Amino acid sequence: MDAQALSLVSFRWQDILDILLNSYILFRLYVLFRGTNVVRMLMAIGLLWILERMARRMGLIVTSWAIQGIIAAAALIVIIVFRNDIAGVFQARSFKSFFWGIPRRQNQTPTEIIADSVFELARYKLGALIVLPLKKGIEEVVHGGVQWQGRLSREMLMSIFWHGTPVHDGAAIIQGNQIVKVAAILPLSINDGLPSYFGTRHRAAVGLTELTDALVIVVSEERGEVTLFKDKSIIPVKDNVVLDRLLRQYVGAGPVKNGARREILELCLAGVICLAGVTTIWSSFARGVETFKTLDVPVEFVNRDPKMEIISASISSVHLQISGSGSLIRSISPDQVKVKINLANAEAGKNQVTIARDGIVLPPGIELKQLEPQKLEVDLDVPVQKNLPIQPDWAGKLPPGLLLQDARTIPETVKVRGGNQTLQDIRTIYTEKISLENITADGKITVNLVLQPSSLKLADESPKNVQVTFKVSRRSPPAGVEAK
Amino acid sequence: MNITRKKIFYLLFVVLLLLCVPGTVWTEESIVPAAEQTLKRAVMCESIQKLLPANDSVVFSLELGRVYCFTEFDPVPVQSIIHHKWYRRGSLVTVKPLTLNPPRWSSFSTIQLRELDKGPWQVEIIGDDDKVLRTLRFSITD
Repeated sequence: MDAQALSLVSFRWQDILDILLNSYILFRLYVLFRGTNVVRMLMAIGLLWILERMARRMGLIVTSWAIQGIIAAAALIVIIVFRNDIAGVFQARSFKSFFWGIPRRQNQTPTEIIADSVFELARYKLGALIVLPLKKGIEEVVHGGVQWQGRLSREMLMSIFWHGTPVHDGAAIIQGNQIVKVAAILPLSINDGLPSYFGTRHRAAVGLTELTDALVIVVSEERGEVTLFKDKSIIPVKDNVVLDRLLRQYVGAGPVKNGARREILELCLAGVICLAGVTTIWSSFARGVETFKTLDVPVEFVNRDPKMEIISASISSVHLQISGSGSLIRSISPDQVKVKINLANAEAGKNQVTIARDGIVLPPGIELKQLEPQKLEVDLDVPVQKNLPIQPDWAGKLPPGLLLQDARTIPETVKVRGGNQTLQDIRTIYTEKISLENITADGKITVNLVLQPSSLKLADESPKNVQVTFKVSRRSPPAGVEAK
Repeated sequence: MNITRKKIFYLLFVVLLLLCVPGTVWTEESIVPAAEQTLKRAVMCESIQKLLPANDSVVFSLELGRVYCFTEFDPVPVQSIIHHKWYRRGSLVTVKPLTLNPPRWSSFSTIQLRELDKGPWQVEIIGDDDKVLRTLRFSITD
């Protein structure tokens, strides 16, 4: 059995869930963004990524770098350029629709009624401006207007644009089979290259299509001509059949049966591509040549009795040997690996604790091979305060003939914090070394205290240093020792 | 005359009775309770001369070879045993038992100094009731 087959056999249920979950997320993103330019751009980025991988395999270093740069820039461009598409997707949908359901295209729009009505208006030379919003929203660019919410019919459209009606001067917005707004004001194009015979309606149509993906139909009042505007296309339409065909093409209102079948096929294909893509990506990350790495990971102590303090530990880090695919091992960062030592059963004093494998947190796909050491010693103690006498720690040699008859510290005692067991054995706190070399007469000196072991701390109210006063006297002449 | 003889007889009888009473009872009624054993003086010194400390100090050079802990008790009501506990940097090095005799007593203990003995020392003077009577602190230096 070759390595590839072995890797398939060793699939865990978590791996399958991982792939399915990510495939579904990718599929949902496609469903939400399909029909927009974002999907096309993302596909282009995906293609670039494949090219980059190929370039890297072939050892084309500069090409690989260049494609990486383009991908990074493209990702940024997608967000900036297609912000309206992205915002439209997130604003216009319910929370549930992000996770479930297939948003239907606007195939209920009665294109035939629109086409017939438009040419009826043209015949009467009634100026008209009709907007059909598609994927992008138009709310941000359309102002004013009167909410209509009327079912679309030929009579309704004729009435709206009939001479002298209060709402004839503006755009009618059609969504599905509803006229949702009339007398709406559209942004005018400032493009100087438009034909001179274009009136305000035409400029408004161009202005809207420059900013959105909406479809706009204009009926000229002077010439009775019908023009269709979509993106940068300006299409003069001669008859209602052509207009109906164009509307179906843009609005997506093809024959219902074929459309549904095509949509199902498209979604199935997208699902398969998402699954294959995620499986490929997952395989490249999670599977592959097994790579080893050793890490020194700091030890974290958890579940300690809050009354106790850790006085010392025999080690501060654990040596771990981990393995996984090369990509995962290379991408691992030290903060992703944790070694947690459970001190729930620890008692005051020295505790031998086994480093359990359960306490080692590794990123998914990484396996622990070895750990060193297997055990550690933790010294726990209940913190207490103790008042201890201070003793000067003299060093060196007094000048000949002198005696240091007395020495006292101010204060005489100091309050020290530390473990109960540690402090039990400590009777005295010493000063730092005080040199005797230069002492010739009575005097005083300020010195620091030395806290040993280092786990001891001075209580907050205790001074950091003390004053030592001393008395010096002359030595009496030497004599024989008379022992009792 | 008969009365005088009788009185003399009774007097002799009382004297005999008094002589027969146990000694302890006699002592309890007649002796004042003794004063407590008291540490009058405790010093570290370089030597003992004529039963007194010489060159008492808190710093001793290693060159001296020995160091002494002198203690004087006054009064000492009964014979008892005290201890001198010698600590080097908080670790017990030696314990010297010393006998005290009434009515007052001076005694000392001593240790020989070695190179490793440099540093701070303490001597605890422990009474016969195991109480620390005093702690003397000193240093052994070069």
